[in-house]
Amino acid sequence: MRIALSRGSQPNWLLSLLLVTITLLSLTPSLRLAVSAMSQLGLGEQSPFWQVMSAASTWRALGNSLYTATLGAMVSLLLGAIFAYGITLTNVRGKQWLVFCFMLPMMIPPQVTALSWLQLMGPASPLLNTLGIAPPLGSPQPLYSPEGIIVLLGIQSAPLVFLAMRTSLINLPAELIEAARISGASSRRVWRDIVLPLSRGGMLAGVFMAFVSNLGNFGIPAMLGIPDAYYVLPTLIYQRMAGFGHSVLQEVASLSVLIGALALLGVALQQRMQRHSRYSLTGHGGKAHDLDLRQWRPLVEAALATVLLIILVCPFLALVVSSLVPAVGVPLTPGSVTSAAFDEMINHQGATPRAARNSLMLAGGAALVIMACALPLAYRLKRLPERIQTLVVTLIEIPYALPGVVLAIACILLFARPLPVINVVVYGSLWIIFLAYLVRFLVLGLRPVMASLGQFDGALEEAAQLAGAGTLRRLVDILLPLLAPAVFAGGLLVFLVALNEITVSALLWSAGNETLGVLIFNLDEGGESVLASAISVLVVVFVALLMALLNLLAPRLPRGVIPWRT
Amino acid sequence: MENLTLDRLVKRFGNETAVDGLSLTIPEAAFVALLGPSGCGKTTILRLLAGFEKPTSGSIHLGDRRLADARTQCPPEQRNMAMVFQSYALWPHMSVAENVGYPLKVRGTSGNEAAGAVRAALAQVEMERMAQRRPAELSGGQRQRVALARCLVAKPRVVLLDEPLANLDRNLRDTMEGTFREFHRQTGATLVYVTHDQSEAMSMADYIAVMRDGRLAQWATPEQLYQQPVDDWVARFIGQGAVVHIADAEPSGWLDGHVIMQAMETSLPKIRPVLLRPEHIRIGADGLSAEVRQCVYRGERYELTLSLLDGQPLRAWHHSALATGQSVRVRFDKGWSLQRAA
Repeated sequence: MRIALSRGSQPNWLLSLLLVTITLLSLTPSLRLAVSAMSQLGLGEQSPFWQVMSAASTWRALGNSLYTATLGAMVSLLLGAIFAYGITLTNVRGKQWLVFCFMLPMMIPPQVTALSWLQLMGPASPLLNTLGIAPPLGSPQPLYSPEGIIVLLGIQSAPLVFLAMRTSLINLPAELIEAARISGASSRRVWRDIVLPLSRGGMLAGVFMAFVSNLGNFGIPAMLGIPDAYYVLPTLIYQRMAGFGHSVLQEVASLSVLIGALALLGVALQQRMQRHSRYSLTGHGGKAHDLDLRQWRPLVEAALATVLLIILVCPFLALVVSSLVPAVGVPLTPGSVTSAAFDEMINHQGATPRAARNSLMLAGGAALVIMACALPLAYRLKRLPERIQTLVVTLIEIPYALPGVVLAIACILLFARPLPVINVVVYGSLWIIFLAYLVRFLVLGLRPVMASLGQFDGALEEAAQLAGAGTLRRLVDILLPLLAPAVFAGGLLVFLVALNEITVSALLWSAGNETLGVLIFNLDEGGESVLASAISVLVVVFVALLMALLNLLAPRLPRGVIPWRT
Repeated sequence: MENLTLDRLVKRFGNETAVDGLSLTIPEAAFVALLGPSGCGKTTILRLLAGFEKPTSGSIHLGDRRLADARTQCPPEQRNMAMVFQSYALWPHMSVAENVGYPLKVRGTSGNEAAGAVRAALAQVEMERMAQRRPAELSGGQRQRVALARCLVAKPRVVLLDEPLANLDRNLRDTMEGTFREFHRQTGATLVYVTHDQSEAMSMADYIAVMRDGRLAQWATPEQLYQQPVDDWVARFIGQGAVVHIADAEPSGWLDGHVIMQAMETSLPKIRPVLLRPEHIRIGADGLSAEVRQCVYRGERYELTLSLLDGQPLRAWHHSALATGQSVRVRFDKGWSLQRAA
């Protein structure tokens, strides 16, 4: 329902202005990037775009990107499908826990995931050394390989496949399954004839989501690929920028357009899949199906727990062990255990507390600003015609859908010179990261509020309007109290994701302005894996706590707002 | 005989008792309606019969075969039953013919035999021409027919129907009621039909089980149920009419009109509920005094709500309109004395 707005009233003008400003802000970086990459095309073979496209390194990185992203998505499919079917269709116990644990890898920063696996395997692994089963010194770290990247990308993106499939399975009406069973089909046939065809769309959508996410992942190929000189597009861009600085801006802009186009293609395919999978399903969906596994139940539970043990518990354990040894390669014994790394991190001045402060400030600031904008923005958006609404939301979504490197390069191009009119330089300060975060994560804070507003009974607001309350009054007195949980959940989500962020800050940081993500990466590169592990342990614990906090909010939010609760 | 026997069946969900000690024998090839207000446990009974729920205690037998008790239960796919769901539950990724043929496919029947059976089943519900359509392209009534054809095809011994007409409009319901009766006549299967609509139950079923709070309130033919309800709750639930209280009389028996009128005028305590249907009430020159409270035009007649001198309401029919507040005299032909509901 649309509500006619009286023209000329001040709050409505302000809301519209906010909407236009934010939409333009979301659009500007991508446009700037496209303009830059396409400029000088007139030079023909001399143009930067042409040169990049004819360089062998570009094609090698592109091939590597496609190889790791595709196979990584297959690993995600395997893991995600096992968990989606296992948890959603059967009567295994402890589902909430299984889901929570399976979702954790998505929320853990990729460089932490990479670091923890590096600590788990190879000759220097403190865990393997402690257990006395480490391979001999000098044997290669098996994770420094395309295959290592593929496995870790697969684990990191598996929750995306899981979520997409779980949603389509939960929306599958129970009657469709019951009708097949009473027609005489065994559980296995029900799965093959009914469940599999009806969840295929969700599955493919999830695979494309995983593919896009893998394509933009920087943390994992940076930690596992760079030591082996194995470059994908994001790490190639990073390496060029780190090595040559601004002189190669035109060149990396072209690379960014290439990877951005690939990612958007993946997103388009994913949305197409999701549309196709939407049969008009009637009946009572919305609950898990609970097929009785009978005597197989303990076996399935054990299998799911084992997978979690391997992908979550073991690497985390390795991380913890690594953070407690005095130096790399020393086994953990009652005598050698030390909290020196934690001491160093918390009590000493230096990069670590500064990075923690920077990350907290950036994530907290972005969350607060986005929380403040989300409600008025969603409110104004909901009063626009459906088509324009979709268009604006898509525009706001682009900076989040694009790989982080693309946005980072776009921001450098945009802010390399002082801002016009006010003549302020944001490049080289924390502000450039902050602005990039705002643009990138706005959609995360906006989506829950839009969802809540969609369920909001318009009559509540109309009643206040008849009682004489103006727009601002209604926003504050009626909408804000009722939508506060969604606003807060959106803010928390932004905080969580921004805190873990590395790709954008890896390109935008400057001395004194590093983030936690960058710090972990730099420490590991500098051989200080003990310190990096200690920071990572704290990050993981912090992330798990934030997720638990979001869980507490879940009963007061519409379905689907918190990604790991459905 | 393959009677469907429910023996002291109990189903609890947590602290809530959905089915509370139900014993019932459904004769083979009968058309039985489970009738009751929402939340009375009728759908739970259907799901227990199908095998989607496990009984807390008690048992279900089909003939000599034990289908379920608290410990063991035969899974739905081995019960040789069929079910029509309220939402029809047609699989959206299969055509009409594939939907109907699925029970045969899982039983391993294929080729010409299966194709013939699918055609025959579709012909029975007059849907042959729609065989290649998708469920999404069908109207509500057509989906209903496909769901029925899917039940027909495997020749089940028991067909369960869960409020199959709830989503259809009035006209379509009348047509579908005829289709169900025909379906029952042709298949000779036992039909268990859940509904909250008494006119549906009355017009189709051989027997009606009236459910209240998980218990069986009455098991009777439609005629018995209408004329001789067992207690005042069932009497109020089924059909129109008024339950008045008179001085004590034998429960469960017909009372002559003048007996009722005498028992209403005494000063003895009025403790016996009696059902007075409108067709047994006449408005005339003599009898008990009553006041017209409401007069509603129903097309073929006027429906009156009357109030006796002691305040008890009556429901009567009349050929012409009467003014509200007007005094009339009423006589009763007969009334059915009721037990008091628990």
